[in-house]
Amino acid sequence: MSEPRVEAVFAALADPTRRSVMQHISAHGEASASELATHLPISRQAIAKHLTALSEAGLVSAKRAGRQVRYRLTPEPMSDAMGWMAKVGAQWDDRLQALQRVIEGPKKQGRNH
Amino acid sequence: MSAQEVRRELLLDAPAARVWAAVADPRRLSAWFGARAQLDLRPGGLATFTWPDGTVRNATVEDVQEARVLVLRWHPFERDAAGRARRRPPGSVRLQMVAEGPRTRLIVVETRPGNRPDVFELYGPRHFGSREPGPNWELRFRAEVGS
Repeated sequence: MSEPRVEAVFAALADPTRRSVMQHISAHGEASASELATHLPISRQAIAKHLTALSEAGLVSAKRAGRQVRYRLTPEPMSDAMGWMAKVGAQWDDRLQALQRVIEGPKKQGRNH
Repeated sequence: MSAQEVRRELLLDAPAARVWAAVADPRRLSAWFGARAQLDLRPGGLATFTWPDGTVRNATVEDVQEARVLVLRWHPFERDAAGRARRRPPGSVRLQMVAEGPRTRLIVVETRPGNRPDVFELYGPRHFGSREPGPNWELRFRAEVGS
C-alpha cells in the first residue's frame, strides 16, 4: 500500500463520526446511507459525505443492490495502517523491556542479595 | 490526521546520564535496540542499524542534546542481506529523557510521515531514477536535502 493511501486512511479515521459510521457498518455487516442516517444523529447528506471519504480511503466499498447502495467494510487498508502501529509499537515494547534490563538489571539483583 | 505515531514512556530507576549512555554509546545501544548500531553522534551524523537477518537501515541524526534528546530520521530505504534496496517510510524516532528526582522518564515517539512530503518522492526520481538508488545514494541524498 502506498503512502498517500495510508494518509487517506488516517485522515478518514481521524473523524469520530466516520468511526461511528464504520462501527455501525461493522456491527451490521453492511448498511445503506438511509439506514445509517436513522441510527446516527447526523443528516443523510452528511452520511453520504462521510461514506465518500471512507470509500476514497478504501475503508468501505459500495455495492448496488436494487435501488439501494449498500456499504461494507474493506479491512485491508486499515490493517496496513494499523499494522505499522502494531509492529512498531511491539518493537518499542521489546526494546524498552531490554533497555530496562540493561539499566536496572544489576541494581535489582543487588537489592535481592 | 497528518502522521502516524507510536508513543511509549518508561520510568527508569537511573539518572538521565546513565540512560543517555545506554542510548548514545553504540555498543550499549546495540544491547537493547534489536540491531547492531553504529552512531556518529552529531547533527547530520549517520546512524546505521544492522538487524540479525542482515537488513541494514540508515538514519540521520537530526537533534542531539546530551542526556535530554536524540532524534533520528530514517532514510527512505533499507537494504536486505543481498544488498537489495527496499523503500521504507522516512519517519523519525525521538528519544527524550526527563529527570524525575533520582529517576528518568524516557519518552519514545516514532512517527511515519503523513502530510509531510515524502522525501523519496521529492528527490528520488530526480536523483536515482528508480527504486534502486545505486551505491552511495545516501551521500547524494544527504547532499541534496542538506542534512
